[in-house]
Amino acid sequence: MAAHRQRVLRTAYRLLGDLTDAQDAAQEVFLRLFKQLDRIEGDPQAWLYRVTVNVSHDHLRRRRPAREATPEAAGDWPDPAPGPFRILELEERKRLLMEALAKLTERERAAVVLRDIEGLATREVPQIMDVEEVTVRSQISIARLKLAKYVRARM
Amino acid sequence: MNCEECELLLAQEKVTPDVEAHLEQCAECWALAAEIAANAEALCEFRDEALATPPQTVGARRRPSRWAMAAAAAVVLGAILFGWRTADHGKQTAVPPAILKIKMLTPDPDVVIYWLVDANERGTER
Repeated sequence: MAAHRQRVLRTAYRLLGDLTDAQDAAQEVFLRLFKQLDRIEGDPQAWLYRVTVNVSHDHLRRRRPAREATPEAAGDWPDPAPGPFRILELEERKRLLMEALAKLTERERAAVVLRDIEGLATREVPQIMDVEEVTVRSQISIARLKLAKYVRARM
Repeated sequence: MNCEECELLLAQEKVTPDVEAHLEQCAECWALAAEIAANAEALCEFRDEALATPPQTVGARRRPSRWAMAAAAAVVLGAILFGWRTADHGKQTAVPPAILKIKMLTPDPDVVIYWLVDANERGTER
């Protein structure tokens, strides 16, 4: 359960860009899980991801205008990289990626978070997002290009 | 192949011989390819991070359960009855009330019902 909780929290954090909002969203996801536990069919992990994306989108809509990502939260994790320059570069890249994620559309962000951060297979993402695979592939490509251009312009 | 086609294929992780040939002659696309690869690595690192879970439990935000509502009602009712009886009893005798607190467990581990009783009225049952 702890692993699922982390997965949900992590996904919500990348979608919302704010740890407190992500914690709220994660709580809502697990509340729905407990309420619907006996009605969940198929892969429970896919269900959790789907509800996490939906709940995060609901949070985003309630929270207009959108807040900026919190860069301080993006740099809190240890880095196994060897040199200090490498560490700094990677942390700066993570910080910029958090900013860039916040500038994507909701669907692009969800697609790239599920595929590139959560590491789901490209065929799993459309099932979770309830869209065609070709659409998700396009959203992932566009999102990757946007992220790359955003980071490149600032590093 | 133009830069736009190359960019799209790079974003799809499709490094075909055409893409490789284009990258050899286009510094812009080569830099973009390096950026996409570095981003992929950084995004993967996000996967291993441990975020702080909220201090409160999931159940803490729930609406009070029926057991909790029943417990609250029982406590209020008990307090009213106890107060009324004590007042009534006090008029007839001068014996001070001896409060007996009864703890009742419920199927919900978060809910415990306390029942306040005047032990003087219970007589030998005590």
